Amino acid sequence: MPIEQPITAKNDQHNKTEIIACNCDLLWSLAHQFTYLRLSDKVGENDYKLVDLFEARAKRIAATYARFYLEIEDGGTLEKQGRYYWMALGAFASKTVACLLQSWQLNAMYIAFKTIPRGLGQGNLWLFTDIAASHWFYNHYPENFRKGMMCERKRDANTLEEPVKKITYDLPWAAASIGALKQFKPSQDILKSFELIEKIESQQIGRARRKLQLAQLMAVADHEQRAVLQPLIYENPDFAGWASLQRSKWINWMSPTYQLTFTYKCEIDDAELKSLAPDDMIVENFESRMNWIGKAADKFHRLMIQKETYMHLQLRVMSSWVDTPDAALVY
Amino acid sequence: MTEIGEAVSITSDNDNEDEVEDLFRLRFQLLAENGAPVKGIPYKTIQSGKSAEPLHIDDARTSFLGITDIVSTTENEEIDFYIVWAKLTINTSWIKT
Repeated sequence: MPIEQPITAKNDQHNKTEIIACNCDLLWSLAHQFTYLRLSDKVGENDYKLVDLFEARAKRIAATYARFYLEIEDGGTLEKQGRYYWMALGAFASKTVACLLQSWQLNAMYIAFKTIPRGLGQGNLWLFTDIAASHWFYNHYPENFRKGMMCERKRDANTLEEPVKKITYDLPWAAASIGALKQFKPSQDILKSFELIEKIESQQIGRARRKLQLAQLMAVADHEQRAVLQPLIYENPDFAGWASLQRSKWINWMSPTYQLTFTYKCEIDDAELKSLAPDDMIVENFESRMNWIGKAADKFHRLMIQKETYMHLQLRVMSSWVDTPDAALVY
Repeated sequence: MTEIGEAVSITSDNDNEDEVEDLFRLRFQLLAENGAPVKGIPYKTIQSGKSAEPLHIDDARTSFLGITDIVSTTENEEIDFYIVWAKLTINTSWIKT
């Protein structure tokens, strides 16, 4: 609702209730607000400042994904734990982004060449805006997501309520990102993932449910990689150029290894708890990247079955990073 | 029914039998297009024509039934209703590309 245009009612009847009809734009605006406030520090009453440090944002994002999976996020339902299966993998992935940003290689690169860290920061921020908003919406208003007002397919950055739209368009890299994400119109993959979430909700714990969980994870991974990260960063000539350069022998030694570690820490020795990208992976190529992500997902899935307690403990630790502080100085 | 962003005035009676019929009590109720209540929406109300600042600080949130608290008990008083949004400061001076 534009703040310049209040809704006015006259108290001219006994016990009058003025009805205000809300549409999906209002609910999507609340969902978007959730995402950017999560990455902000409170500076006054309902007054916030976006944290500048990419690493802090990445850790808060990891925390939020973990909280969604564990059903301890705002609006979550503990009895439904496991339905947002991708979120658990996403937490480890965003933690990995935080670790990459922390690594000395990137810090060194950051000063001279900002393309890679900024690409990681941009991808992580806008993927989060895209994914977390829809899950928050489904947590709070399931009756109007795939049913009721059927808001799932009515998401559009241009029809957000004006104050939220303005902030969304003021976020870093907004101009390039919102267009690349087609104004957040849902992809077929993300539609499929919420269809699977509903099926998971109605399944008893067991083999059939686990199969649905893996399918849900892969549907979001397809969405994440094809509809979000590919147009957002991998098709950016600067980022693709740097990714290609990293494969060359003379610079490869100082580049971080592409790996996903299933721990809250950045590194782990146990080979069973990590997935290393194949040497011949071409990171900017969707198919090549998905080939590794599929293998990483299989390993993750196996660990979630065989070492559930361990994996949940890692997620619990990451879920506590929700208030990771900003840096006093961000360069 | 009032669309978000427009002001129209169609009303419905509150059928809460516990309330005294002859009192003027004004509330707002947020309903989805399909008639379902919209809960948890932060709002602010103010006497019509008066400044709503600071507009980012809410009075309360809509109840489970999408209903606000009583926002006026004065006959013929006009009340402005706002949905409240948080303020956010973004430093993009060095990160925007």
